[in-house]
Amino acid sequence: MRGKMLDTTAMAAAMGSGRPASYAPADGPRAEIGELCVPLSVSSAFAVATLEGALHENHDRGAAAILPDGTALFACLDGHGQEGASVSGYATRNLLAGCAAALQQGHSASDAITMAYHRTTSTMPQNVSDCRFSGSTAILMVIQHNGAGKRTATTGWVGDSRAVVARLRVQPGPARSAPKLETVPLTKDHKPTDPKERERLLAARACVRPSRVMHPHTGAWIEVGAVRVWDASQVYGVAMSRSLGDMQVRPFSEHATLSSHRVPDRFRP
Amino acid sequence: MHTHSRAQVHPYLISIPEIVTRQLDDKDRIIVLATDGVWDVMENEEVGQLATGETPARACQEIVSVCARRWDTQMPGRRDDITSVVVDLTHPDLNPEGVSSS
Repeated sequence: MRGKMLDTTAMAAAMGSGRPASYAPADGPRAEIGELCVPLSVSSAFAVATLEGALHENHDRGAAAILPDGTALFACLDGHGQEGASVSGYATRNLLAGCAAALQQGHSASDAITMAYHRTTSTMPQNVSDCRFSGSTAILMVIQHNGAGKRTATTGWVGDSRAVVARLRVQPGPARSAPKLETVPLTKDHKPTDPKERERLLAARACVRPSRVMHPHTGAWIEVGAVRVWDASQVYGVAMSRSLGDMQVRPFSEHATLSSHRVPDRFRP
Repeated sequence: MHTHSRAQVHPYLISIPEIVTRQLDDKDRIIVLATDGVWDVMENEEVGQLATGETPARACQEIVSVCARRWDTQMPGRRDDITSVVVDLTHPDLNPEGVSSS
């Protein structure tokens, strides 16, 4: 596929064969629910184009599913690292399927997105060969109809992939002048340099700095490239403040709770 | 038993999504989702312009090929993966209740 452009139909056909009757996730924590549970849609309402870069296999993923009630799900992901394509592929299928399942259970769009990310993150280490030194960005968008012709777009994201909406701008002046467009971002890139993200990272005492290389003559360390968030041993850094995978930089899950028990006095030495 | 929800947890890089809800109105025409292969070489406004007035299939191919040419001229041999998803909000498949698109 190197250097070849893919279109929607090919991607949908490649990922969405077989239409089960239900979106309920398969049993068991090891189940990869995506391919089985969400049929990707083919419609002229949307399209995906992707082109492999010059450096490695394509780590990007784009996909869409229109559910029976008309709710539309869109995903766009950008993997990184040796197994970036596995991470973004696994996450695409599971975000769509997890979100569809949660919506079908009656959860709100934002809850469904949160649950889909949580499920994807918690099952990933068992299902992807390496998500320790590989990871992915992810945008998951839900477009829902709320009756009376109202629609909402709920967008969840981690990382620096971006969603925008192009809309007609209200023009002051003569009504016949050509309509102008404005483009409004729906997401804000999760960069370590973003003030809010930086504040959060520094509060967690994370190591936030660019990569370092040694000067060939003086032996001094020089900082090069984008600002990264580093793991405790400072061997692996990610140029984003949020991502899926990259387990090296999160030795403990953010969902973990640690508990301690007081040892009864009679057992003390 | 005592629970320390924050103690010794390293929440440097988190995978909790940020979530934003937007009420769409009839002025919203096109949504584009894309990776940094697009955003590194193209501004939001230009992506919006390219995506409007075309079918989504043509628009997303156009965005990707223009971006590919820019990578190949500006950073030869270093082209990133380039992906765009274009959604036409005025399309009947996304308007089952007949939302006005005028």
